[in-house]
Amino acid sequence: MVYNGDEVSALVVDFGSYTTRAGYAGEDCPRVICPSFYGYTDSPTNADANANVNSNGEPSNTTNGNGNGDVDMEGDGSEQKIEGAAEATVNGGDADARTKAGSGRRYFVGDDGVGVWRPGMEVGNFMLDGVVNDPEPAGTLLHHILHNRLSVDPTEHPLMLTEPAWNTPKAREMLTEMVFEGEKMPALYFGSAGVLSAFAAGKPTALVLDVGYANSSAVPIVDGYALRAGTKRQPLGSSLLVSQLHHHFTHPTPKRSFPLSLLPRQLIAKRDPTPDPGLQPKPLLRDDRAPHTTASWKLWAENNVVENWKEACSEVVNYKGFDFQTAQDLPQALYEFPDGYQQYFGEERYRFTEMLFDPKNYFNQSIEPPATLRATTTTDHSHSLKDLVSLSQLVHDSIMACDVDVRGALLQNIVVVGNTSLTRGLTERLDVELAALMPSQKIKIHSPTIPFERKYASWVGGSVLASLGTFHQLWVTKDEYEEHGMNIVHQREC
Amino acid sequence: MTSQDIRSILNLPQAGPSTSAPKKVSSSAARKPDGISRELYALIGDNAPSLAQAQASLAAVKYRDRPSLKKKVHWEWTPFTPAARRDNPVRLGHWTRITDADPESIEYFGKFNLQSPSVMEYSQFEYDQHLQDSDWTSQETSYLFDLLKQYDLRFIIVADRYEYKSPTGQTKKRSVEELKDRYYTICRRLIRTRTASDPTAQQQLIHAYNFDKSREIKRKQYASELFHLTAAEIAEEEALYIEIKRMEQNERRYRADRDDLMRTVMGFDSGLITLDQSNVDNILGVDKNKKRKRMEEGEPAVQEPPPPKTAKDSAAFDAAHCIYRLPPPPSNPQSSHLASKHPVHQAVHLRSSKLPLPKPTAQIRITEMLSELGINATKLVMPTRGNIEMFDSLLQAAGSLIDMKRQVDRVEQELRTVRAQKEGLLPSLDANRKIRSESVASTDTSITRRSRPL
Repeated sequence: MVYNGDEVSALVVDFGSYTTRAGYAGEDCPRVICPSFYGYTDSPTNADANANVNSNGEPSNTTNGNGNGDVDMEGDGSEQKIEGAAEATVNGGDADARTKAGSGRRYFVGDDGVGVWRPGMEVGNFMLDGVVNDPEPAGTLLHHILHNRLSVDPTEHPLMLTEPAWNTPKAREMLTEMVFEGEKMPALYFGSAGVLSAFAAGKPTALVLDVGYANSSAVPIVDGYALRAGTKRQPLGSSLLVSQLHHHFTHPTPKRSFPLSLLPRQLIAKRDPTPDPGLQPKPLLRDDRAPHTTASWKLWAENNVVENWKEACSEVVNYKGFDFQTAQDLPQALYEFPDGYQQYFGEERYRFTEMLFDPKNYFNQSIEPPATLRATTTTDHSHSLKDLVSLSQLVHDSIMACDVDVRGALLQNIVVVGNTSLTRGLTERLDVELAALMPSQKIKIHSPTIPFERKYASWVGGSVLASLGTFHQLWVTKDEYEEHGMNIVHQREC
Repeated sequence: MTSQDIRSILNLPQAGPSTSAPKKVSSSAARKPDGISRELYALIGDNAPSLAQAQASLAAVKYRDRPSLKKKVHWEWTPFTPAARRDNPVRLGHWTRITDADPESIEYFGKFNLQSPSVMEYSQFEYDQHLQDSDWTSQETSYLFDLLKQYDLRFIIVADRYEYKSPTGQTKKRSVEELKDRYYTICRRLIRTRTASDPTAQQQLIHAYNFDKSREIKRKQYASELFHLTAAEIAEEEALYIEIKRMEQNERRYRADRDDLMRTVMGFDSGLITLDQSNVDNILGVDKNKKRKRMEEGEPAVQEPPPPKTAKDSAAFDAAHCIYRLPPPPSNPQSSHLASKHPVHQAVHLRSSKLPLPKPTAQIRITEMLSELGINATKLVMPTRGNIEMFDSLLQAAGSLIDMKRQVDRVEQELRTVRAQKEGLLPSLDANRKIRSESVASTDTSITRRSRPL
């Protein structure tokens, strides 16, 4: 009787630009999904200062998924209480260690980190251009996931981390240090996110188009290896889309005489739905919080509101050259913002997503794009914000950069993943555009229908790979790392 | 009186076992289950087991052992080394059931581990002797072989990862073809130099490692051109393909029709098969039309009776019985020898049915004329050879008469028109002619326009 043979109960952690996914290898869905955004406060004494700010006794658990009851019972929700409910901050000795290293900065990570309003809390993201950039909050989040969410002993479980195909050696070394020296885990492996997404779709050879938060990338995979030559990426994703939408909503338009407030729920005390769609709402605000809200948190929260609108409403028209000026008969959808504003949205649902397929005409350069997207420069393998190309062109360029013999196989196995790819009509439109670009070729697009399989495709692929018995020869163990140093991590790649 | 007494009277042997058989039936019948009437049970018969019986046998089926929930199952975190890492041990752990711990279970999965394909290896001596290449240094060759080993001979990935840093500090990229060429050349040279036990196997191996670099590059060029076709080019290609398919199909159908016709009507092969296969250019539409015309003209010529070949001894018999034989159809020189040896069977028919039919335009008038003469136009009362010939000539004469009449009518009509014109009743002939010539010109253009796409 074979019970679990050579199963090694590995963990898989997938750092993404928008969310970080973690769970046990062999399972079909990540156990932990939390934002890659983190909150931080710089002054170590602000906990005392905040006690009287929150003296009205309403802890900000409006977005607290746990809905921990003890906070409400305690009454005067001070910083510490919120912290306890959220389980997000580093606690005890660890917190001291971080404080020493990081000049008195406190991090709030996890589900209840950034989503909970805290006075004076700034918001950051440790990912830049799809690569882990800031080791401190990333390490804090990894620690939080391992100890507080999965509750495992890290020394017992090997860990698979995902990395983008364009990962830098520096980021890799940083993560390796974090895993072996910070968490003392026995073994580590870096799986290329594109390869893992292809594995999740059950294909060893595929072209993975990942339309995510910060980037959209096309990675050709042949026999389970990502081809460097054909890897292309550009900062055309949900982040850029949201910044354009944010500008649209916060400025008056011909049809709407007032700008939208885009206030998040955390800053609204009470609101009444407007009697008719299109009227300006008059929510009752939490004036006590307004002066202590930082600009970065406010922007994050507003972007979150827009992101929700985008996920609920936006669609892609299914053919090129749609005229948004004349065609007003697009299907409308009613949406209500947290501040009570409601409206039937028609062409806005389609006009902004058109940027994904026609950035030349629909990407408004005059709107300030998010600063983090400027990190991507124009090289052979990437486009900067200045010269974005359509998704179909990205796929086309990626395939054309590969050897002739594999192009056919890649075209037959286009795997579309990423959160933004869930926009309705995106895969259909991609099919139309690719057929126009390469009329002589047979094109087949594969995209998982289950949303989380598309959003967390690289995690699912990592889960599959790390649970295979034959995979175990690829682990980089702690002993090997101590013996050979960083070189072994760079050598063993997939 | 028992059956035994009867048997003894009739001097039959005592049949012991036969008595037991009916007894068995009665015993099984006696085991009537409850809840079912005797009459109904009797209807079921012997060989249909009742539900109760079936269930009784089902109960006897042994199920597999269920895990007993009472027994305490002990799981323990045990460190182990996966089978995939025998040479490079790692201490990983997993939960195992201690109650029936089986160290073999880990080995169980080891057999699924993949063994990568073997990459040729060479010694430094062999390199110096045979494998020198002006374009490749010894270091770069060994770098290539390391990569090939690492990526299991996947040349495309090796070419993608290939970044050889030469001692001078430059990084070098090489194409897939260069890498393949180098590797396969080395393989061929190694096989040739190493002594082999079986020369044919050696030759086969050399052949298997054959690689033509220039041809491969050319092939890839052609293949990559296919990726740059525009939609219009593809449409044109498709149209041409469909056109040639259509032509082929037409040709085939036409040939089959002709063969059929020739066989049934005249009983020999059309001879087109050889003609078509030898001359592929003929599939063009223009040629086809010409050919069809030629064949139509040829048909009546073939029908003319060639000199008779009947046997001399049967001639007298035929003369006596007034039998007139048609000569057998001439054997086409182009048709196959099979057709001439085995002439196609012709069904029995009246010769009168082979009479040429009058023109459909003239037919009605001919019938009218014949009825005026009191002759049945469709059937002769006595269709002898002579009568038929006379009837045929009559029909021909009638036809020509009707033609003549028509001509006369037309001339008279023209005459009348001209006369009327003279009196100024109709517009002038010139205007009329003008209109006609215009219409002719327009039809001409339409014809040329239509003929162009063909």
